[in-house]
Amino acid sequence: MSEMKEYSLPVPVKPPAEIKSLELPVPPGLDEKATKGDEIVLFVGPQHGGSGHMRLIVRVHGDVIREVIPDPGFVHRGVEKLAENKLYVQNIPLVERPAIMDCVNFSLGYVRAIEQALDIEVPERARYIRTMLAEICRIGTHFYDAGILSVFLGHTTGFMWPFALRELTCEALMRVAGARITASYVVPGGVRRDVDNSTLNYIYEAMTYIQRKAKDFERIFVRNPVTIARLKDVAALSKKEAIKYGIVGPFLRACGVEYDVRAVEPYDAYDELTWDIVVADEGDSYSRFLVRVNEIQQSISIINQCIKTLKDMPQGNIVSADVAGKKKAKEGEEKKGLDTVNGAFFRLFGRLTLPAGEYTTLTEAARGTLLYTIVSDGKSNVPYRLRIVTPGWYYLKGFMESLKGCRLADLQAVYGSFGYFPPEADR
Amino acid sequence: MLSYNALLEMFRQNSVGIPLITRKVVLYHTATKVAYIPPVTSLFAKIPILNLIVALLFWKPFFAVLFAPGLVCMLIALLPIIWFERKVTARVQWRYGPLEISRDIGGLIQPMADGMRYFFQEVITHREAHRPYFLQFPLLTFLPVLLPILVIPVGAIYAINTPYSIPAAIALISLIPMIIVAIGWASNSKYAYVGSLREAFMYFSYEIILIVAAMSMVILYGSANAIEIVREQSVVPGVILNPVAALVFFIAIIMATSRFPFEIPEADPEVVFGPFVEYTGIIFGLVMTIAYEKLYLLCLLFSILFLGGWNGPFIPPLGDLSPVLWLFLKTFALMMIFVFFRTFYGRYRLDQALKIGWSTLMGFAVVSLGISLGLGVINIAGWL
Amino acid sequence: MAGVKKIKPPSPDFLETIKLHLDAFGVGLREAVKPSRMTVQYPRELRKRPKGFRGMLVFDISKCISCFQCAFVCPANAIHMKKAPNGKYYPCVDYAKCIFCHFCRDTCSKGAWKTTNFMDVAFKSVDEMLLTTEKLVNGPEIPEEEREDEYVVEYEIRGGKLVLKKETSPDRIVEVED
Repeated sequence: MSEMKEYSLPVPVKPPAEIKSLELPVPPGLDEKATKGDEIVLFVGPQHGGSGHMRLIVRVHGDVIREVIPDPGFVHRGVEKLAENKLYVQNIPLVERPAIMDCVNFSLGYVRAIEQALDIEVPERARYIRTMLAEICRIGTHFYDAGILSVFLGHTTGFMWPFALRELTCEALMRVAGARITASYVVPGGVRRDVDNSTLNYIYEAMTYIQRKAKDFERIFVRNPVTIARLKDVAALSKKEAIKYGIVGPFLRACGVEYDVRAVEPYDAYDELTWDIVVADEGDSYSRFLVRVNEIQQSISIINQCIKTLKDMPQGNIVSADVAGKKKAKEGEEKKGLDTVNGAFFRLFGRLTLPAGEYTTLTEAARGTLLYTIVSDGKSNVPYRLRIVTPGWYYLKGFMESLKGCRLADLQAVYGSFGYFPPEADR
Repeated sequence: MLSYNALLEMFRQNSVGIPLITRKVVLYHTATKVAYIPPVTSLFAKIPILNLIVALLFWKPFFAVLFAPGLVCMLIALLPIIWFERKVTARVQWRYGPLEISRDIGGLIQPMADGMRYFFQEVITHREAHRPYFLQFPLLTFLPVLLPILVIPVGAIYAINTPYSIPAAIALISLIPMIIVAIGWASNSKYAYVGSLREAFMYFSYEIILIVAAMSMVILYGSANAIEIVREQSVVPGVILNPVAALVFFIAIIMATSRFPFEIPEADPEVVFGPFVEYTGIIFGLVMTIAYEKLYLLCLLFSILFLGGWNGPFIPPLGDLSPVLWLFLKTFALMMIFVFFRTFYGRYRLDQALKIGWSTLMGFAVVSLGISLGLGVINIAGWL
Repeated sequence: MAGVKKIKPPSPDFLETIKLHLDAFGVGLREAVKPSRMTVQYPRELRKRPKGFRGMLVFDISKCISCFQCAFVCPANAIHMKKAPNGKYYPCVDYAKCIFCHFCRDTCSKGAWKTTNFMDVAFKSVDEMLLTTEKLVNGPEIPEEEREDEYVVEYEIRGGKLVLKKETSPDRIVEVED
């Protein structure tokens, strides 16, 4: 069959004036190129039903996207700079702000960098509690992203159900840490509070309920033929491309790369638990979504194992004895950790000073690899420099590349399939 | 030139017979006394101008367009269906839906409250709009919405009794997309333009299969007159005779009224509200209901073609309104099914919708035509 | 110990697609008939806050030793120390800045800071958001006539089903916890 001949109509289209007036990050000559050829430059965002606070500069040819240039920074709050003026412990609430649903994973990475610097060994119970909460946050984030994807595809039930199920994870965080989001729960050397058995029971029941309802969600949205039609073979990235563009997390695993920080460099209790890295080969939008849907099941299994271990463990000993400092344990005597940080928070953590050097940790946050680097000068009680590279920032390039050749209507679907969260990428 | 009395008589001869309103009603008391309620029409019979107006209102063509199955029936269907849509979606989504206004009846009057809000809202015409067209077209939509009523009969109530009522109705309904495209054009905005383009593409994808499915039923019944078609279905409804045609017509209605999963012209994350993005106030209220009005009209056609139309037990006190009631109930039930699709579907892409319309559904439409021809041959040969 | 689980996205053929369509329809219909609602109708019903909920703060002035540690540790600089007539310094909380992290409560070695189960607060102006020590001692109060709540709702899962456990609202919404 011969190719259809293209006819071009001279439509009087002016390039958007904002290209010049706002000094947008576009290559020079884009506006002239777009008006002279048969392409149009479109702005998607910063405020648009289909995007967060980020502007996408889209070059379209007819209905097909030629190139997308991101213009992030609308929610940039300078977290890295703010962190240089705060005590190490005061940064814990700050670093979880970029991704509020993913709070425990975010503070976990930061706290582990401090623990690495001070060589603190975390008690077993605290490690399990941390792991459990990190996975609860992962479930919450995956549900959030699934909801956003659904509403991009116009599936309002697929939007409401994950948000409703996320409410149960919020409730779990509220019972454990006292706040629905932004738990500020992980502290250097352990966690802030102990978890009692009734809360553990609630989390177990909630996970069972989520598992049951996630099956319904799968039937109404995930395996819905409309969803499959919209996402399958859309914006596919090959394994090679995914590695080249530096994609991370579930989106990398959807391209067939078996990489998960939790497995490669296990932290906390991950190497003591049994779970699977979920991998798909296709690398298209649907498998990116499906990997995360399956990760929810894996997280539930991890949480249930944690709950089982935690129930067998005696209460108490949630903050490392290394933090308690002054009284060194005698020879042969086992160091006993603290049962609570109540009344001693500032005494324990307020005067933390890290030895001079650079400390880097990798964490598997819900949306992918999260990197923290603390640079300390060895004298001050605030970080000299705190570097955060969030998963959103890592996969932004791959996200933009995958959009080439898609239809304009697919832009929102691909956006949702990446679960792109502008505050996280902008930090 | 007709005289006043001749005109009055003409209206009366063709008036709608509703015993409850137009005739004397006999009431039996317990003490076997007989009481009469005088008819409403006789109250005005002596007053010169009013009797003409009352007679005109009950004149069949006028009654059909204005009351049943026309404007009033449409409004009666629209308000609860919008409420039902929001309520059933909320139920499936583990919510309550509109509740704050009239909590005791489950927020039933919420659409009316919304309408009132629209009514008193400022109507903004933006600078780029083609002002006369922009304000005109929402009102002009009443033309293609009410014209098909002229040829859709309900029992004895009809405006024009024509042997081509079904094709005429479909042709008049297909004027609605023209108005929507014109609305998008008059808005002169990027999103409205894209939206009306999408509307035009959707029109291409459903129109042929809608016509083919309807025509296969016309072939099956051997008549294009709605009254004939309903009479043919007195024993077996059309949906059993030719289920494939019913399916195709059903999906074509979803496409035509931009319900999910084909809510493509109005896709809110992509083109905000498509052709209607610039409208505010009462005009927005008008354009928003176009899709529902179209849904009502097509559901009327679906009930007539496939569900046996106004066939149903006759209710004596309602007289001519009895078939109206049955048709209305069938139509409303159908509309309830259509709005339910919102709860469990996302939205197809435009090219996918076009592909579905021109490949799968077109195939089914041809099959339905074949079934009708086959049944027709069997019927003529007298094998049944 | 992490294994690898390979997943395969479904590629349904025509009949399977119809089955999947009906599947989605079935789930929708089931929920429409028997919904598993989880809405808490907020002003009429309140979510039950668990023990240790990080709500608004109440300050016990008799226990305070003016050690300033709560002001030091506050990540948002929301705590100001003000000089009282008796010569000691007592904290004020600026709720325009407070992020409810309760580092101050964990810091206080004398237990002068207490939490409440209440956080649904509204202020008329920014100036009002700075709660002085006197206001902190009394804790938040809601006028009886402004209350609309009838129930306190708690999420509970019984036998794999989510139950909204309703209890009649207590006389006082604000409960101070130690």
